[in-house]
Amino acid sequence: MRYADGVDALRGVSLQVRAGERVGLIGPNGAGKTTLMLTVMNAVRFTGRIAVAGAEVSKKTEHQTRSQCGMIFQDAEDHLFMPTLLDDVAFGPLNQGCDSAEARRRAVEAIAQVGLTGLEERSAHHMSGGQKRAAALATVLSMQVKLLLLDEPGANLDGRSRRRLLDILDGRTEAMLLATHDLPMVGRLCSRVILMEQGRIIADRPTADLLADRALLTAHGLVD
Amino acid sequence: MHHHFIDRFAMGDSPVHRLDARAKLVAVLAYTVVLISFDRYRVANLVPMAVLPFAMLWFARVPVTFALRRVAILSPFILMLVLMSPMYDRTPCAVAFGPWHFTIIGGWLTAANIAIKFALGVLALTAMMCATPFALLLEAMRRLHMPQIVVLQLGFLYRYLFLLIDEAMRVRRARDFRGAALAPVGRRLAAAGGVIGMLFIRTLDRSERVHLAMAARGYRGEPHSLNRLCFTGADAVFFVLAAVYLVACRWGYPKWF
Repeated sequence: MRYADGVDALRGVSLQVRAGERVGLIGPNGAGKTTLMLTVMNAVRFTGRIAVAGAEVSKKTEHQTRSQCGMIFQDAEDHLFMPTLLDDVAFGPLNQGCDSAEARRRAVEAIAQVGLTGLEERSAHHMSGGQKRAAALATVLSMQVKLLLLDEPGANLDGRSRRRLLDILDGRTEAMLLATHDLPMVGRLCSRVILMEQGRIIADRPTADLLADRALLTAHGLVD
Repeated sequence: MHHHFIDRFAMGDSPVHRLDARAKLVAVLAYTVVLISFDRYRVANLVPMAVLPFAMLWFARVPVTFALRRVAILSPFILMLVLMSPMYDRTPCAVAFGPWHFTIIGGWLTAANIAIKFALGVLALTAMMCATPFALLLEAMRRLHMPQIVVLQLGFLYRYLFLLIDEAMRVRRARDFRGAALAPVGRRLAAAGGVIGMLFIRTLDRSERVHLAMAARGYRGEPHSLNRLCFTGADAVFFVLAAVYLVACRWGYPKWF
């Protein structure tokens, strides 16, 4: 994958995430973690082959593949664009073709799963940072996707909100690709970790193994 | 500044709150059309038109002082028009007020007409906004087949306007904390230009990210929404009452006015 200014954001990246598997993506800023997720969502142009649940990602299959994976962006404000939480969480199911009653049922269920029951009619502007992050998660849970792409889910959260988010994520059964600098979060949630730098995969190993490799982490600026 | 500014009373519970948003929206639009249809020299005929907005405010339990404050905040927009009317329209007009008969220039009548129409229009809109959550108003617009792009834009405006204002406030504070007040006017203007430019770029960036978030959740240009509106018998009664009232105000006012 190459940006318009000629910089290669991803080079020779090859990986597979199995159903229900949780994979951590770590690496310094600019390593290509977010770009990799955007590529899976077909939001940037790329050369190569990506398949989601058996369907190859392309302009033609975009709607189908996007129904199978949900991405949560770094800034929850970008994710919550409807006037109320209920509208926001129902947005995805409605676009998937659900009727109003089914979209509402799924939205109410997803809101309950992230512990925001009672805030259905609230605007994102009236929510705390932790609530916004949980709300953003609900917007993709209501789509009943098979793969969750989480970009820095713990960023800017206080300890309590972070623990709460970890508990919610830990209870999920969907496959997960988690881009973060938060190594303890990766340690708790992921069974496998991929280390990236400058658009390449440097290491792809079991979590305990990679997080124990202090020399590797230090060499890539992830620990001091 | 937050949504409190718009939604302060909208989440309440009253007979007006419980009405279908479509009924309220159509009634207020019809009210506005009738209001502006009065001749510019008609002033007394506008008095019965005050009943609907004040009744809505009263039934919705919205303090009248709150609504009047809104009128005062917006009044600068028509102040010049009101003040200029007596200067441009010098037509003598005979005025009868009960047993009193006198002649004044038409511009004063026009000024009073504009001011009253403006105040009543704003009061009616305020009453509707205070008794209807904005999300339901958007839904009503969508169901009434207003242009999708307009409804979408209003939704984004509601969602992101205050975010942008907060962002501008933060940038301004950061500028002030670095001694902007002490800088010469030229440098302050240059800084203000930079702030505006930066906000513009941030807004563009955000719009791209929001579009991406929408596309990622399956948006393909056709807005869908939850069906939350329900037109009941009470709405029909309100609708008929509003229609009868407006017809009576427009064509059935007492001739002695």
